[in-house]
Amino acid sequence: MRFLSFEIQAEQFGIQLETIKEVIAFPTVTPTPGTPTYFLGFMRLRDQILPVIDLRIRLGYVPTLTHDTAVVVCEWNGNSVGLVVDCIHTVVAPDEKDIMKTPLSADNQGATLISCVVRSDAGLTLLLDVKGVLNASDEDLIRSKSTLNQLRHAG
Amino acid sequence: MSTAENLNLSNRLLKACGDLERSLMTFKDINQKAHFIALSAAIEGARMRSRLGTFSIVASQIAAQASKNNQLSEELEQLIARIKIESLEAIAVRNLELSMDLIDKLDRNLFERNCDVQAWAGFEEIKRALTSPSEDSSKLAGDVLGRLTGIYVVYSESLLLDVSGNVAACAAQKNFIGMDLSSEDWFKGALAGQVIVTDLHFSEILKSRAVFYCAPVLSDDNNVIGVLCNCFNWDYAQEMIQSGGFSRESKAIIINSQGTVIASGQEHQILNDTATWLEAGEIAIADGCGISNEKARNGASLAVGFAHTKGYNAYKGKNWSAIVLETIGDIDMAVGSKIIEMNKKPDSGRIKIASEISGYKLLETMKKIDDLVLEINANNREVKLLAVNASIQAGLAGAEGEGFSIIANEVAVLAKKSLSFVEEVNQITVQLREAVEFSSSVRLVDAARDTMSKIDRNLFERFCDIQAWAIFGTLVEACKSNQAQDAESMALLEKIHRIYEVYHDIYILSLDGRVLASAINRSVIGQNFSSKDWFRSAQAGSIFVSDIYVSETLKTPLMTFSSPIHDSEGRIIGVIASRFNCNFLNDILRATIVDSLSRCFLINTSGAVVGSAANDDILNKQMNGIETVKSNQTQDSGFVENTKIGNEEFCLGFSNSKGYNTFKGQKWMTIVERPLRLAHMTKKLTPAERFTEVVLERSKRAA
Repeated sequence: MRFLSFEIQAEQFGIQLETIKEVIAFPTVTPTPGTPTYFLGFMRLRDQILPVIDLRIRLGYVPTLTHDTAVVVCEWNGNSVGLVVDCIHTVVAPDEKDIMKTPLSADNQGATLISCVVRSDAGLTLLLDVKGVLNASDEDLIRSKSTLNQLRHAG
Repeated sequence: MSTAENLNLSNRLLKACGDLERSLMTFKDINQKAHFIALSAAIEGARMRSRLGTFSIVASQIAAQASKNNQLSEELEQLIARIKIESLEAIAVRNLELSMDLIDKLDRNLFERNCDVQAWAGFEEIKRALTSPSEDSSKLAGDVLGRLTGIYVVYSESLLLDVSGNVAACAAQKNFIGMDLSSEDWFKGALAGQVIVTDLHFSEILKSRAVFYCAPVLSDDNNVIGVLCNCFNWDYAQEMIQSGGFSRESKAIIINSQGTVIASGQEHQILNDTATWLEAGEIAIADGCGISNEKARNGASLAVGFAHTKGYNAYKGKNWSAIVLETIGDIDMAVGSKIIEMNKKPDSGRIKIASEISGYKLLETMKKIDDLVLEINANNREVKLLAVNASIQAGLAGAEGEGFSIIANEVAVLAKKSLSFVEEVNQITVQLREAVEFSSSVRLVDAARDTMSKIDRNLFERFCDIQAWAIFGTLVEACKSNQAQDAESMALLEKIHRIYEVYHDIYILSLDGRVLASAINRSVIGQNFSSKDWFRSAQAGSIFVSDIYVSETLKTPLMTFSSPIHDSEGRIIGVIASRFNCNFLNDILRATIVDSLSRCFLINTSGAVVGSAANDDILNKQMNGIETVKSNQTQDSGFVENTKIGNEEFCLGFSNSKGYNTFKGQKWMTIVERPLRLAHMTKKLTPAERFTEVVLERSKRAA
């Protein structure tokens, strides 16, 4: 198993490589009114338009804008989405023995967010489940017709 | 300003340039490696059968970054070349200012010498030695000339010749009397009625180097009855070169209209060497003024400033020029000779342009370098992410992606190296900026010191004048007879007033304080000035120099010089007083070479402004900043970093008066103030602010 490691507010996180398409620098985002705070808007990536979600706000952190702020482009349910993080590190291929299941119980909200925990010299890295990060109402939001219309006008 | 500090200036600027160049070499290395990596990536990408598309995309992105960085490094190279040129200019411009000051000092001195000889030719004793020649009259004339040359200090000899060219009287060497000098060109010229100033030459008569000032001596009915020749001791011109603020690596020379060296720190050059091998020299001879960067005869690199004479008042100059040459360190001058001539602009414009050409251009170029470095930094960010993307693709490809993985790592390493390059450049530009600000402060001190020196020299001349005029036989007689409005005295005072140009008026007063005669203002004749301090001081036997005050009636700033008048037994029989028009001092302040927002002031012992470019300031303006300066009295001259005057912050250059020769000075000082906002031409942003700026800039461009 390989994952991309990144950090938010000095906490180490990761996402499995299969879900990731690419990483890009923090772009110009066109905001969309009437959406939750963590939903930053839409951005253009080559011939595509993707929604951008601020992972830091989503996980309850205060967002910052620095030289290192970047976007991880993930694929979820056939759609691409961009997740804003503080700093991207590198691709990690951990040993089997260092991968641990999350200690949280299934009904804890955290359980849907975190797929597993990886141990390393630097400490613990929490691997995020992209599906869990975006809950069901977000799915509707992303798929709703009005949003698509706005997309067409913005594009 | 110590020579060590001057040395630092050029060295600092040039060292920073060298560092920038070396840094750039590293960056070019990095970019070269990036190109190879891009190639490897393309190869690996082609080798991937699965995931071919995605690998290729990443590979081409790496290549694109590499060429972008290349472009940026080319731009950086051009900017660094410009910084080099502009640094050289900055160094040379300081030398330009020093050369302008040197030739100006010389011009002012020669003007005074030009006046002296014309004035002395009017002494009764001088005329009598020619109209009724005898041993006695010759001795009397010689005594007068001796006293005069003693007062002014700067003459080595003074010769009085009759119409046949024979020496009738002289100040120092009595064995000159009787010598036939009729073949001398200067004698012939003066005999024809002209005031002649010779070039510097080795005088066979005096067996030393001298410049002769020669004036015709006229009888009462304006016939030429002889020639008076004052021999200026050239050591006093040489002394100007020694006392200028030249660094150890700088040499100042004066050249005549043919390009021959007539004054120099190196004795052996005088009247032996020429400056025509210098492009600067040729332009100077042709009435030019400016800077040049060229090679010395021994191959060393030079930063040169040069200025042609402008004369002063009625003295038109001898077409001499001053050149200041500075040997600069290890810098490759493939750029070639760069000449900037500033002759075409009007005087004040010429001077201000000289100051602005240097420091500010450098700061602007440095701002461009800063911007470029920001771009390189932003690019770096892209490269880092590119490396991660490459890793991602490699990871997804599994075993096949091993080769690509390696490439990804190498790209990441390059990005790190780029980052340290950027940090290096930032540090260097900080040093450059400091050097430029330092050079500005050096020039403030130069300006303060040179201005004070010129003022002291001027006051010395006025100090000598009043003592010299006190021995005019005509005036002594008028005081003895106590007769008011004596025609001869008035005519004499008028003549002196006309010759010297800088006085407002000149009076002689009787011992009880009544004005007996004046040069211009007839209405003061008969008025009593016995209560005035200048009168009482002279009446008691001391030479008096007043402070500067503003005349109510005339609205001009004035200074009074006074001296006792003695009879042949040494008894005080009257007083002579001169009113010096201090607008001539303000002219010096106006011409002080600084940038357009800086100003120069003359401050007296009470801290009041007594001289300024703007007349309104005089005795009105408060210089609160001088508190800072007063505590710096240990130094002759120096620089104050940051002081508040009113609401604004300034940096100051200051210089305390040192007097000149026999004139001990008034303990005044000059202050040159420059508003601090000039120093921070580029707004200093925090890293976060600059980052946001670049992001906004780029998104604007992308949109």
